[in-house]
Amino acid sequence: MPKQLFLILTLLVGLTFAAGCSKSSDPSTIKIGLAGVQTGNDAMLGKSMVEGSAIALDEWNAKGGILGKKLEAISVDDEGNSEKAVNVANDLVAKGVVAVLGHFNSSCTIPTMRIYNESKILQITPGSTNTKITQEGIPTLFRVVGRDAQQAEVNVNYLFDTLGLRKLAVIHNSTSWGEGIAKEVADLWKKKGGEVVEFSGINEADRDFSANIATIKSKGAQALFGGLMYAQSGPLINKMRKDGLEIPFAGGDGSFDPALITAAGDYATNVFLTFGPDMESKPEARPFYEKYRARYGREPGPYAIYGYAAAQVLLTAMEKAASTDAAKVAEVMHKDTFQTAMGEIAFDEKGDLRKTYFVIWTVKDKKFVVLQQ
Amino acid sequence: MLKLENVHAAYGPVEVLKGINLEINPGEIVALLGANGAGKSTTLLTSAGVVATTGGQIWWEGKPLLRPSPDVVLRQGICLCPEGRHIFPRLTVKENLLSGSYLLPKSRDAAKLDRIFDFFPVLKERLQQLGGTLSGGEQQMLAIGRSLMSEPRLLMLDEPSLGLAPQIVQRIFSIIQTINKEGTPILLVEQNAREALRIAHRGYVIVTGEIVLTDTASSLLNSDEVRRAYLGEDE
Amino acid sequence: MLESFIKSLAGVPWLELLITGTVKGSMYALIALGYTMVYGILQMINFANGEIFMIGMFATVFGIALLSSLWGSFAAINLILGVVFAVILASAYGYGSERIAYRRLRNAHILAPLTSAIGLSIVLQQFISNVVGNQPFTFPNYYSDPFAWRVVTLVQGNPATGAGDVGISMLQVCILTTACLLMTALFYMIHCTRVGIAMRAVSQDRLMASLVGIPVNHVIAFTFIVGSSLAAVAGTLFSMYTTTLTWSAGTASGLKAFTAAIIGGIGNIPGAVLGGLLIGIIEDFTIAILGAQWRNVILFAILMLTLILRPRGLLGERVADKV
Repeated sequence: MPKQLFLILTLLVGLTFAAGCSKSSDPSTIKIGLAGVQTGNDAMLGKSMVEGSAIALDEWNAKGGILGKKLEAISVDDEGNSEKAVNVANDLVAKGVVAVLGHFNSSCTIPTMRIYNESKILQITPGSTNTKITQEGIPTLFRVVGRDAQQAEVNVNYLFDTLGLRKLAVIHNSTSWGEGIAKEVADLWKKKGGEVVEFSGINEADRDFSANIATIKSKGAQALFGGLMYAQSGPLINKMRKDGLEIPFAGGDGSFDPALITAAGDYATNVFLTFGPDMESKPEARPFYEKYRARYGREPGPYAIYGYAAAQVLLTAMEKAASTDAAKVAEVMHKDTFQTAMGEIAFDEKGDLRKTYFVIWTVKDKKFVVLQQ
Repeated sequence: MLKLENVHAAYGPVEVLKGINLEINPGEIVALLGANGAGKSTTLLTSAGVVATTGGQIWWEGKPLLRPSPDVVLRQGICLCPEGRHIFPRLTVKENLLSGSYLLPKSRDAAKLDRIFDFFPVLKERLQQLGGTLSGGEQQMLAIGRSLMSEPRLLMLDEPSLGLAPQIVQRIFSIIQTINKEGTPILLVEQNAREALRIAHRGYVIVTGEIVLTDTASSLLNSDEVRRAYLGEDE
Repeated sequence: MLESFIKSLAGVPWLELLITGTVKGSMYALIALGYTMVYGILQMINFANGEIFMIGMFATVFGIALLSSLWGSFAAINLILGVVFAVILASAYGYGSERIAYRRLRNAHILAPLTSAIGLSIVLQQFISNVVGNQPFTFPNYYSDPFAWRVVTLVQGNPATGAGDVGISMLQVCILTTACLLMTALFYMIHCTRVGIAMRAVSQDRLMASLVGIPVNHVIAFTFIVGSSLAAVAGTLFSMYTTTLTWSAGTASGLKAFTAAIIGGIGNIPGAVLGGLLIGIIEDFTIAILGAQWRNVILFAILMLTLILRPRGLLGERVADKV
């Protein structure tokens, strides 16, 4: 018996090593790491983000690369898991990337941003919104999305002022992102004079919400804010409507994926999510969307264009700085204004966008639409 | 009917049967006598498909007996009622009996049960009682009854009298005789050699894995050697 | 601290939690029966039973998708055939796992089949994850929505917000009915049929069962098939109830069902049912009172306490029922 156990362990260890084996790298290219969740619960959001970045890199290569060298994309999957994210980050460092576009989940960006900073690797996250990320003062870290503090404010203002509700229930998935935004929403709500009747965390694997719904019902909440990813908020909305809880559901960008509508089905009513403005209606974004559909044969996820724009900013700044050195590129990024598929992008001293605006989206005829206010 | 030809069997490195030759004919009661550890039970277990042979051949009605597992042997008509009775302790008496006729047509159950109740009326009274709560004698009756439910064409009984009061032993032996008279040949392993030879037609004496003596029951009863060794009589 | 805790108790929606807990518990019970039956007959924990539950989920959805593309969306027929397909596939997995992972280890050291079971469970999980992809799936709403209507409203709440509202939906009724029917059928099979006698005989004395002519291997395989079928039906019900399917669902629910089997007394059939209901109800009350993050802490603390204080479980190994 111990022999068999040993065999199993040996096999497992062997497989891990085989998976970690790296391809030999070519010194004549500039390596860019594309990191994000590509499998698992949040796969839909992260995968198209990475694919968006990849499209930009290919475009530059078609033009002859950058600084006389070709670009090499090294795409890694952090599975939305912070431990795995640290592993893939170390991998990227070992492979000699000069910059990383990623990660997607805040819980993956927070532990990895220190690794990249220590190795003097520039990082732009196209998807992590946790407020803490840009508060560490890392000079070579940027993001092309807004912060949770901002989307929390938009959410609260809508529920409190526009809808005139006073009793809020808050539920979150106990991750950096989910708990972070849930706390910001709850704090703002209380500051405005509202009552938070329920504040509770669930596990990311939970799919059965009946007890949570029963509690929210009994507390008489008038609205529910979910610091949840779409994989949980979709089924939650479905179940709460079926259990007779008809109050508005509000959420952040993590819930913003068509899969939410698939899961909630006809029950996706009274849903309000904060996300960036409607990019597809912008003329400068149109070529990207066409390219994405042509290349991957499916609809881009909401974060695809963020991945693309992040890459545009990075490569433009590298050309301008005539260097891949993180400090020099960062200097350019802090100073300049960039023309991207998302429109003009400029960064403040912390690496946050100078101008961001979240808007409220709702679901109409099984599609996300911007709520006209 | 059953014929063992130079059968060898071993538990690991220890050879227990060293070439057993034995035969049972239709209608017979055959007693297998021997000291503890001589290989009597192993002979039965080997024939029942529990213990594998390491040599020799077992014939059943002229053909080699298939022995991949005990239930396959039983389906060919050989039933072993093992030493220690092995009643299913948490099945009722009725369920214990019915377990013996698994895979046989249900329609024949009632008649078989009636026959068993004729032999052992006490079982009928205890029908809904758990097997584990029966007395030793009742358990032995149940074990024999359960074996009969499988409609054996050869019944092998291992130590049916073990640990039972003398008058119960008498009852059980007379019923064994009745079963035999109704047509089922019986291979009987017994410590109680005297009782066994009294009802048997023929007997074999087994010593350390080999048959050393075989004769009719009455001549064995009168043989000095058997009297000394197995019937506990002094010269 | 204590004061706020007591205050939070006062607002607990106990009636609704009792309903949701019972519904969920009845599904746990169906899975727990598989653990307890296999333990009863082989004295072995078939850890892969939770994965069979998960396979049941996916098989139903796959079956429904196949049928609706074959001849269109006939709700009731497709759903029933989907369940039948899941039961058949799960039975095949159950049978196959017994043949491949356990039969040859039956007489090995007790750790061998246990390790094999854990290995098999990982294999099944990763297999499904690789085949269907590891993002969550949605149970087709077309088939689950017709069950969403309210059968009875027990407490009329505020219609705008749902505050104070308590009711029972058709799906909850269906889950409870299905679970009750299956359990009744199982009890009947074990106590009133020949195969039930054979199963109990094998569980009590395997060699003797073989000596009275019971084909032990078939009976053991049959036990696996019955347990797997129950788990598969539970999988269908669970995925309809929660509207999602994930490849990792088997581990979570499987462990809870296993806990249920231990708490009720492993090997004991009514114990598994009792344990399942208890686990479901305790879980929902824990979520409501302490929060969802505490559910596993409480459940597995109860498991440990049971093992320490009452190792044979609540109903003990009350024997006549052991399979």
